[in-house]
Amino acid sequence: MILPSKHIRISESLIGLGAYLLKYLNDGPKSVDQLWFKVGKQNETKKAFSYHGFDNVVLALNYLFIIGAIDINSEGLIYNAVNKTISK
Amino acid sequence: MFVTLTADDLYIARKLFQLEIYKRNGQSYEDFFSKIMRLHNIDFIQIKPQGQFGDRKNDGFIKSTGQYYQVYAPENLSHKEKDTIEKLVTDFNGLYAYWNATVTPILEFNFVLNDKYQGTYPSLHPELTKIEGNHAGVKCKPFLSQHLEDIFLKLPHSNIEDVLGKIPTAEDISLNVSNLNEVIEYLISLKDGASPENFPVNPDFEEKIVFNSLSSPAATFLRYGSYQDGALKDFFKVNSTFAKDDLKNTFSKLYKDAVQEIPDSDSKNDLVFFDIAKKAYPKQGKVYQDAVFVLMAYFFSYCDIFEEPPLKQQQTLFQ
Repeated sequence: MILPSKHIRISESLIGLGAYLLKYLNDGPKSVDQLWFKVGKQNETKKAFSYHGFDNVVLALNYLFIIGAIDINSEGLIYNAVNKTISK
Repeated sequence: MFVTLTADDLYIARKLFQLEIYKRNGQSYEDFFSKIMRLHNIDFIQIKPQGQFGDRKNDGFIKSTGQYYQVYAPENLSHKEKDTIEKLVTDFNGLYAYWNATVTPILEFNFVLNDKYQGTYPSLHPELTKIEGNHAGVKCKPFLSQHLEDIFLKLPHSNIEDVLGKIPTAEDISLNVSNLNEVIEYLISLKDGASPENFPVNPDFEEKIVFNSLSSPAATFLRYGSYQDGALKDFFKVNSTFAKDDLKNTFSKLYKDAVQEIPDSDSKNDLVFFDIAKKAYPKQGKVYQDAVFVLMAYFFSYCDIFEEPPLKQQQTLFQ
């Protein structure tokens, strides 16, 4: 579910998870493993609005790639394709 | 084990029985009828069709009393007046020709009709009287859904559960999260297709129960189901997040289907309630029933099933 709906809150939707992933990319390019590690840690905290499994992380990355928000560099790491100054 | 059904249990049993009547036609109705008659009277003998001879116009009989039963359960009886009369006449003649002399004299002929509680044609009764007039000593009468219901509700309670499965009780609803996944997977596989988003303006649980004129047993299921709301939300938080949306579509479809299929009556909304519940169990068992009631309460509170009460408006001064 990319967008929120009646029963899917924004934090549960892929667009919401995408926002988290972009935030994690603020401090530089990361591999899928590193991003999943961050989401996993977030899942365990009380601050997490929603739980997201690895499947959702992959779906959210697909979605971010399709809309041109992320790309992969020569080292195979994911970076923020819109605001390259943040993640070089 | 001795089973005692309370007044509420019997009410639910009655609604579940009526649902069976509404959905069964043809052979399925005949099997249902025969099962109840066998439980009611051990002397009832069901007749299975035999090759080219068929059942010789007899679906079942009680030899000692000379009572014979012939079943007719078309999909829609209201469009079959001519067929019904023809069947009555041919079946009785066939029955009389074979069974009266060779087995036991016919004292009572019951023409079993699945009228789905709509009653039968006035034109059927003169035909029955005509048969009585032509065959001395034979009583002829229609045997409708209401008659089967009377027999059914007088059965020992263990037999009632034998026919309908375990009668659910609202007070004992407890959500077993380990079974919830199975229920959800089954429900998602059941139906597809998105239904429009309907954001309720005023989702007041109790008001909605009253507005939909749900009876007290059905309302109790929803209330007790809603008590498990927290456990359900915890489950959704760590499990199938997106399943919530699919489930909304499934329940909404089950609700719309039930509203269309079940004929109008005073207790239509209760029948709709139990119809959704029954179709949503992946298999018989209390744990599955409980999970379904909790899910129904959840989607009821969000107005995905049943109608939303209209928002109360301030009366204007000059209305």
